[in-house]
Amino acid sequence: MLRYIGIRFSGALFSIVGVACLVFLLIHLIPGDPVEIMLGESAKAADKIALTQKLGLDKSMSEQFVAYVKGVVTLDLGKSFYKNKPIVDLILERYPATIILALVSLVIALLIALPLGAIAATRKNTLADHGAMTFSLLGVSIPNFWMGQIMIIIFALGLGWFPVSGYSGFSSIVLPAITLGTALSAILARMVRSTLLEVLNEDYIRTARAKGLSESKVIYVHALRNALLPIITLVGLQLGTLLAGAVITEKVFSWPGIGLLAVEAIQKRDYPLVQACVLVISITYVGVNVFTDIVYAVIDPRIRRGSRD
Amino acid sequence: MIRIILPIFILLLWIGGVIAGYLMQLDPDSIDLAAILAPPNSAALFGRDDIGRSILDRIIAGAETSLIVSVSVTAVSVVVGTCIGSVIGYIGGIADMILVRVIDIFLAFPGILLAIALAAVMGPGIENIVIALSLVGWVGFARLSRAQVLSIKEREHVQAAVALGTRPHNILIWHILPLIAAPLIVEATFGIASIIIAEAGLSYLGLGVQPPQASWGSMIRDGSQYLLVAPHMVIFPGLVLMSVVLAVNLLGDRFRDMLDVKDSH
Repeated sequence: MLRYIGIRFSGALFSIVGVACLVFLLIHLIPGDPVEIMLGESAKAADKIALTQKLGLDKSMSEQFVAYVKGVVTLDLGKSFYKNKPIVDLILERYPATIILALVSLVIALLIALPLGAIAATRKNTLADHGAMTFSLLGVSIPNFWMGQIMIIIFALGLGWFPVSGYSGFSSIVLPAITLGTALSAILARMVRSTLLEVLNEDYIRTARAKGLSESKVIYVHALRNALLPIITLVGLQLGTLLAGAVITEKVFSWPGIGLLAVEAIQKRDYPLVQACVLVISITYVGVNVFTDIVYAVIDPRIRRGSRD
Repeated sequence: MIRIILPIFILLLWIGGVIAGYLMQLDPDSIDLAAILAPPNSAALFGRDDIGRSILDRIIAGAETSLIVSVSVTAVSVVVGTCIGSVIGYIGGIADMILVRVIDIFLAFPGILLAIALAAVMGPGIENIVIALSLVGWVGFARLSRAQVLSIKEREHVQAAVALGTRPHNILIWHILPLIAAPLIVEATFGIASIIIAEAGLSYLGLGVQPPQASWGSMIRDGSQYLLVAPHMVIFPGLVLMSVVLAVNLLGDRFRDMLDVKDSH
């Protein structure tokens, strides 16, 4: 077990280092002079020189990289010049909102996907199954940002049940969480269905039926519990999609999370802040995946014995 | 039947819209200040936007943007990803270990976050969108083709070809590639659907095409400021976007069933 955790951690560490390197290179992909783009063409020469020095762009690439790594490790990512605050503070301020949104969306997604997938799998090729799969197909085909706008038109502007955007108490989270959650539930429902269909063919399901258990007990106690194992992994992977989807959804609802911070930073051309946001979201994603893998291995001993990579 | 006729019909409308954009006298950029935010009417079937441009004309013009971006990104991703993935998968060794690491790093960026970041630093414009999405898109195809090649190169017919002294590139092209084509086609079809959404998403964030060029995503972005007075600005481009993505996904489902590819989605 420890060996497995060690292997997963070193793999994740490698990914994070790679991600950090790519994020470092981002600012050097800017065509032309980043300082000129950030400050605009009419900026004073003195300001440009000051910003160049602040960003360390006057130093050599290797010196810049050392400074960057030092900054990441010591959690000193410099100052955001459009907010005029330390970047770490800004991120800490916004991080909880993103996590809360992601978790609530995940709960909504599971509440929809588990019953829907179970119904579809147990009534394979019936109207209920086709209905559930149509919902799933629609869910993956509707872009988050459009669905969000439609929700605003209907539930915020039309019915006035929820605030249009921003953060003002509990009711603010409803629309963004439903937007993200239904999109995720569409993918999950499909996966729950196919996993359940596989499990339902197993011998122990036949045994459970043979000993006269009620069908709902067979499905929810015997089948779903076994199907949950692969579903946990899928949910972990999808949580990352949720984090990335949050960038656009947070923008739609002006939800004050890290995604909105990234979009604001992009609009203000505050590239160091953009880099920091991308880095934090990706590290969270890698972290969630490692955590899921380990949880999975704890639950299912076959994984930690079978895995050699 | 409806699962095959409907998507083909929508896709024909999509491509037809692109062709019609050239043949018809469209006015996606002509401004009519007297008809600002006009709701759907006989002169403008889907209404007009905040500077009085016809929504329908702009949707047809936007069809071109989404078609160009999705097809070119998918083509680049399939070709580059499959070449890298299959060649390195076949050679194996250190190159393969490095490829797996590189793929891991790219996949550590959730969803289109990397594309958003790339588009943000490269600046708006259709070429930059294509570059940003391709830089992210090849990874999936590299991973898929590598995995497929790894399993197929152990098969007897490949071993036989090796024993007969067939050159590696011939083995790859004639003995392996035809066998991995089916999953790649299915993946590419779903890839087109996700690129259409990604392009619209980037344009929604203001990272897509430059105004006044039309994109469904940027139309929804423009409309988001007028939800109360002119919801048609958001509703129609979104409906069209959704229909096209749905059609491509339905087609992908069909391909997967026809080609008997294991469910990976």
